[in-house]
Amino acid sequence: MKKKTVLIARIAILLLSVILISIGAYKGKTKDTQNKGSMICLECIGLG
Amino acid sequence: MDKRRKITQILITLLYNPHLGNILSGRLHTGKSKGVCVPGLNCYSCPAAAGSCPLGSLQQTLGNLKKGINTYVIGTILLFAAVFGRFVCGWLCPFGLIQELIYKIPVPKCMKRLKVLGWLKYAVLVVLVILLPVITYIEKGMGYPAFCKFICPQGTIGGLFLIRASETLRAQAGMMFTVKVIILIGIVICSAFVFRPFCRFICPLGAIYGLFNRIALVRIKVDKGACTDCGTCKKACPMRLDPVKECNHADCIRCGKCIADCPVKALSFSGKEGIEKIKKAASK
Ligand code: SF4
Ligand code: SF4
Ligand code: SF4
Repeated sequence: MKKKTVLIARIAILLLSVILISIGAYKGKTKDTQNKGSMICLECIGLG
Repeated sequence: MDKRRKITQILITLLYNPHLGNILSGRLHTGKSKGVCVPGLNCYSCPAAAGSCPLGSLQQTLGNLKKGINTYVIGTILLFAAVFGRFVCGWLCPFGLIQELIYKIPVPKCMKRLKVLGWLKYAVLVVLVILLPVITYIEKGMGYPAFCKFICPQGTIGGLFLIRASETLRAQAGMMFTVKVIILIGIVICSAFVFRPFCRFICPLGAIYGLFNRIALVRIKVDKGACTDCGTCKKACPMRLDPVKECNHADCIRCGKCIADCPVKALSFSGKEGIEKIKKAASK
């Protein structure tokens, strides 16, 4: 891949990730993640 | 470089899992830090964990689409991928460290690349991480995290801690748990003979990060003019790659062994000169 293409792809993905994180944070999705991570996930440990 | 990397891996493991006291009590940490996904594979159902697992969180959102897709989780994974690529695997993942420590056991080693097996992780990503959670959601209204449920050895380790501490959970442990423990034991045994078998052939998180290795900020550069084609780096690479030809291959975990071993310093991490320039300017 050419240097310029790599740079454009990287910047685009970085921008996209920041936008997605911001939208998620605005919609309170960090709280969803926190709630899920704060309960024992029976599937994760092999019991569900 | 390898010593620096080991120290980083140990510190990161402790940083991801600082609540060691919870291992005895079998309680989970429930603070705000659980709202943050860590870069590496680290089960949020492990009592010591401070943060959330990106892969578990991704499956959770795909299996519960009525709540709307969790763009925060997808954005976080993309951010780690675009900045680090598989540098996460080489430096920032506790399960990578565990396998490397087991590999130190002095038994005969398999030095083959086993390229075909390398494709398995992409199948695991598509089928267990993406398709099954979505399909079971469409069918039952609530999908399950299939990779966590059927395979993830990191989750099994957390489960073993929880089961040891809780009689109720112990009573619930059935066939599925036995299968997961067998998978964990299989990975542990293979790790003594093969370098990081889980990372190379199974881990879907490594598969995601690998797809971004070519464009990630942290990459490896080859100075073709300096390279004498001596083959030292190829011999040093634990992932069995040829760094001169494949320095940004999806399987490169950015361990830096090739960089350290090159006798003419033809390999380097990209961005290093920039950092050196900044350091020089700052010291003037
Ligand atoms: S079981 Fe594995 S993939 Fe699932 S949340 Fe735990 S560590 Fe992550
Ligand atoms: S491949 Fe998976 S388990 Fe291995 S180091 Fe990378 S994220 Fe961790
Ligand atoms: S190519 Fe170099 S940095 Fe990548 S895995 Fe091999 S030795 Fe490590």
